[in-house]
Amino acid sequence: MIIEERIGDVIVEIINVERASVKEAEELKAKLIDAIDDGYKKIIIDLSECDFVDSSFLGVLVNSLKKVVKLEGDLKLVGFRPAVRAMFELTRLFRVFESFSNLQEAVKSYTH
Amino acid sequence: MTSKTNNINKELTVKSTTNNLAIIREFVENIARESGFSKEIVSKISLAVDEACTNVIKHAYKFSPDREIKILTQFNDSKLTIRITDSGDKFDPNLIPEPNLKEYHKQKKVGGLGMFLMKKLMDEVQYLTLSGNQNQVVLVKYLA
Repeated sequence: MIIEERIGDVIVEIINVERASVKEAEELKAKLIDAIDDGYKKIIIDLSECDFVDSSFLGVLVNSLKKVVKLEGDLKLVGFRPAVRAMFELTRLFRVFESFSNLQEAVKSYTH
Repeated sequence: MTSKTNNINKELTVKSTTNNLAIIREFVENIARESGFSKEIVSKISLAVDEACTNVIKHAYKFSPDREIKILTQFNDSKLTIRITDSGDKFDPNLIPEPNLKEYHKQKKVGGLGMFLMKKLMDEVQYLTLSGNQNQVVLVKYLA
């Protein structure tokens, strides 16, 4: 399940499941399409509840980042657990995303 | 779901729904553990099988939940072989270029990430076309 929060012009997608795979990837993709259509381009994905992400989910993160960067926005990540960090390291995708240890820091990075 | 076991071979057949991925992972993790792989390698094998089955559900069966995925495992001579068979759309791995990670990160291109992961996590990955319009991905891990 994905919970959405809007903080000013920042949209936060909280991935509230232990395993983020193909089902959550489709859900996130649909939510981000709507958010971008609504004019949001400062996006935060909160992964602090996740113990696992698969390549489908990583694919949606990369595609969405690509989309918002074109709109001069960004997609930042929050709350890597060890297994999720390992997956980003294995695919070397941690270089692609800006990441933060907590939500406050990530929101602050958009407002300063 | 059907399952049968003998000394060296085990088999699991499940319907092609993402809800069954947990059953597949548990099946494969038990076999990898029984074969003597470390906890870390068991996770890698499980992840590779998860990626392969997700590919079947997504690409071969296009999320149709009533098709079958068959998983056959064999362990002998320190070699664990996992065969994942489907009867969905034919998959040609040659059409999926190996991601050039440098370009991948520069251009933020997606595609082929699941295959890249499988190759990274396992010692051998092979795609076969069997008779009767069946596709099979063969994953191999050696017990060091």
